[in-house]
Amino acid sequence: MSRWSLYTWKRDGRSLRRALPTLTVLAALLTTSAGVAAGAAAAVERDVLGSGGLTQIELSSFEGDASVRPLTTSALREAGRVKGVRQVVADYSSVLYAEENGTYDLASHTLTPGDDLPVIEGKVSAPLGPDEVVLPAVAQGTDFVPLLGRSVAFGYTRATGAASGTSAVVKLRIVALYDPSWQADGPGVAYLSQDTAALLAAARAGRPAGAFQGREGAQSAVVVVEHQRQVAAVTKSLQNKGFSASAVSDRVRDLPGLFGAADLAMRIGVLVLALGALALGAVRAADSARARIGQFAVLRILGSGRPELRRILLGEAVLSGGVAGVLGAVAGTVLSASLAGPLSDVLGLPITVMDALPGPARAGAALLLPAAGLAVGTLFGSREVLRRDPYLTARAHS
Amino acid sequence: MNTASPPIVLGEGLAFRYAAGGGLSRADLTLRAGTMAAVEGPSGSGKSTLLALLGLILSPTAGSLHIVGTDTGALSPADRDALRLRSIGIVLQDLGLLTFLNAWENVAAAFGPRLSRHRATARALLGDLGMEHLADSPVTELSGGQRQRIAVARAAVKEPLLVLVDEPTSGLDPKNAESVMDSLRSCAERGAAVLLVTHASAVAEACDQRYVLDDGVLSHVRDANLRQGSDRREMLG
Repeated sequence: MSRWSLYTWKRDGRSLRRALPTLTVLAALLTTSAGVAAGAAAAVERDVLGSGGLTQIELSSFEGDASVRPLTTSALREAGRVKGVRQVVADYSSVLYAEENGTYDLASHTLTPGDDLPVIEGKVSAPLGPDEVVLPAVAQGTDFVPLLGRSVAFGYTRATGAASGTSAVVKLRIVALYDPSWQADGPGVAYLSQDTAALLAAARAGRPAGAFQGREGAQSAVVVVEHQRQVAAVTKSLQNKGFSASAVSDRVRDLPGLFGAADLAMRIGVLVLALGALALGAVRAADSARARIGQFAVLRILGSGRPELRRILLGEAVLSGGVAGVLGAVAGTVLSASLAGPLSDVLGLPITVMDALPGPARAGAALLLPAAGLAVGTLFGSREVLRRDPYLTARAHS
Repeated sequence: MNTASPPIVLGEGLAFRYAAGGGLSRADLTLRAGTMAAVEGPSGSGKSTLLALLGLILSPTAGSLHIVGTDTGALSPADRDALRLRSIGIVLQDLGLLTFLNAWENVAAAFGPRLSRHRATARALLGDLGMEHLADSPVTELSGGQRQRIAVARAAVKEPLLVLVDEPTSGLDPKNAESVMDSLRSCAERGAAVLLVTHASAVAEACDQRYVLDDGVLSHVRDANLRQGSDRREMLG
């Protein structure tokens, strides 16, 4: 880098400073997408892995898929006997609706070890008792806070035929209320003990609980192993027994949907930033050098050789890229931090400002790629123009 | 003129051909310390090319050139640039000033890009030329005469041993022309060799040596004793 660059970059409108706005926007976009991806990933990892997810395996029934073993009582018992397995909790789904106090119908699930409910009132003692329920603080316009600690009558459906059924009532004590923005199993879910959830699911199918668990089985189940290092071996063993088993930690690391989109956007952002800086450098350097050939000729007369003229352009590229990287990284970080709140609402998971900060690798890329890309592009772009002595070019033009 | 002093410029059989044709066919010249020499000739005769060769901007395609005793043909491009920066001041027509610098910065630019180190020297020289009040002005706002004087000041500020000037009084009124010629004469009196390329015979008459360049060939016309200032002013007027 030549010291002349400090003057030309700052004072000459034809310098590579013209690349600054475009590169700043690109760097900001990269940083923002990196922050959003980091925030989403951190929230999900904390939510899933923080509740013991590192030692958990999820079994799925995939109803209708004959190649997957159903999660019947005997199957789950066999899964529980696999070496290293500490606990198997089956999830049965059904619906609870209002019998008194309001109008609502809530999906119900078993409270599994994978559910790290953000409890805001009351206390969850694992496992739940058969007459206990954990509800969202508010659901479908009903405020459950006044009902905390009380036994409440809930309605559920007992099927009597293919398309007929009667209403039944179960009294459950509301032991805890959780933040309704937590929606890992969907909005407004009531969490029950395994036995109660199985009872409701069996009634909905019009069968006794024991028969339902023995034939149809659970929708899914969570297997808890004794130590994280056993997860891979137990997963393999369960798969060998015909279960659809996947380690929760693996699923977290292969997140679909919004997380995947943010991650993809970030990778594309890195590519666009690098190639954009390269292309900008190549085009702008050639244009800039041509426009300033007379000034370069004067510098040549003052003792600057062609290598120094190239260093002037390189210096301008480093300054433009460096400033664009810093401005873009700062703007992108502020933007992604300000998106933490809206993102939390979209995902239903708490995302802190710290979560939404881009990681050091991505921030480093946003900081360095504009300068590096622009510099390399400048080397290519200026090669043709500076091949001939600027003095001769300027004289030919004059 | 001291003929016993070692020559600052010794060029023998200098030639340069442009790719598109034209250039300089042959130039032999010797410039000693304390002399002012003029090269006259019609447009396209190779005057500017000769200046660029002596300024080490171009390399001759034939002949030899010694500057301050150094055989420039044996120098690397970087060494030629360094020698130019150290020992040669150049004022080229139409390729005058750096528009992103103000007046004093343009003068200080002769030393390289560390401008602030040479602020005092540059401002003092502008003061000597009666241009102190313009020191901070953008050069784009100065008149042609003022710009030419700043360009001469930049060429002279390092007190180089060789000063090369292309059309020093072109487009200047007599007062500005006289001021520029005085500055160049001061360089010669300090011990530099000054070579002017000019169309103006009055300017050439005011010099100690006179060459004519015609169709690419340089001919030596006259050596003269140092003229008195009043004589030079009469000629320029």
